[in-house]
Amino acid sequence: MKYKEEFTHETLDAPFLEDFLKIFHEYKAEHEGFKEHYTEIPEDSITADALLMDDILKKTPDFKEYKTAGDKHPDGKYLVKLSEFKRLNDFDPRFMLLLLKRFPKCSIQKSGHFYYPPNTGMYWHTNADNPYLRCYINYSENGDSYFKYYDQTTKETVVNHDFVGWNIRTFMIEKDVDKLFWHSVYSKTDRLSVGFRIINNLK
Amino acid sequence: MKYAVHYNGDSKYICITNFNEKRSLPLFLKEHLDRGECLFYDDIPSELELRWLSCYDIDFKALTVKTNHKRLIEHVIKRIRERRDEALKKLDTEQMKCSGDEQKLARLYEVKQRLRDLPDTINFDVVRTTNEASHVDPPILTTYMYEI
Repeated sequence: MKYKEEFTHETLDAPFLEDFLKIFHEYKAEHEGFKEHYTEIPEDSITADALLMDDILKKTPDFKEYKTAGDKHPDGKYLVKLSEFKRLNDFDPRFMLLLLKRFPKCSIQKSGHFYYPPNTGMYWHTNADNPYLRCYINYSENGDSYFKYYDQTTKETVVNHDFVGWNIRTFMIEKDVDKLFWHSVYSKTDRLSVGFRIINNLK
Repeated sequence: MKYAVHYNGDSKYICITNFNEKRSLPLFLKEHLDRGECLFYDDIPSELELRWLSCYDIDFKALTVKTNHKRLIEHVIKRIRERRDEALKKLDTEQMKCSGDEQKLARLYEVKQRLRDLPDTINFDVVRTTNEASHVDPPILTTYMYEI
């Protein structure tokens, strides 16, 4: 094993991250706050325990429709996809070099790149279509945002608040039904997120 | 003409066929169609979509599909070499720009060598399916320009 498979969450610092933020704010100003790109959604309809415990987990056990992030909300446009903005994508190699220090000899693939405007989030999902270690680097403007997951051991949900500024989280995505890593996100502040798959397939 | 492809992540079944109506489909594909597990194309699927089809042995009579591991390995190496060769070309251009900068040239030669060695760094013991093959993505193919 080349890396820890348990959930981790730390602060992160690197000089280029400030440049990344600067470019993001330029795009944000240019697109008038991205207001045409998203819809605010109440926290209860995104990350509530009841949605997972009373609704999803009592449905069909293969949970096929929850494998992919973000497809579940009926509105359909609730986050801003930053992968559409080239100057932000230009930072991919720098993110990868940062991750290579933690995960040497692993393939690294970008998996999701979002701006969560205040009062938006990511509905419960599992990512089980790609069962690899995930690493999410995210920025929280004031820390009023969180990552919530379901602990398969305790059978309880855990709210993991963002630190103010840059965060890095890792967690293992499993595809077995009894090991699925159910998770969701909600933000009441500006939150940026860049996700990566870390695949242990190099020598 | 329509084209239907069924593919699941574990590569148990895959089928591509042309058809004009549902009744012309093989039975197992009809079942996947009913479950919404087929992708449909108005034209022959693109190279990207079909990139992995060559890695299967498909028996349409027995309706079985098996991954051909040898072809899978060849295919992964071919894809990596294509990306690697493109990177080496860009580094050749960069090399001309930095003649005289010995330190940068030394880093460039080192990165080039790592790119040349790339196919040998893939651990094929853990690449058994097309889904796993699609996740072979050595970071140096993205980071090379930032490493010189």
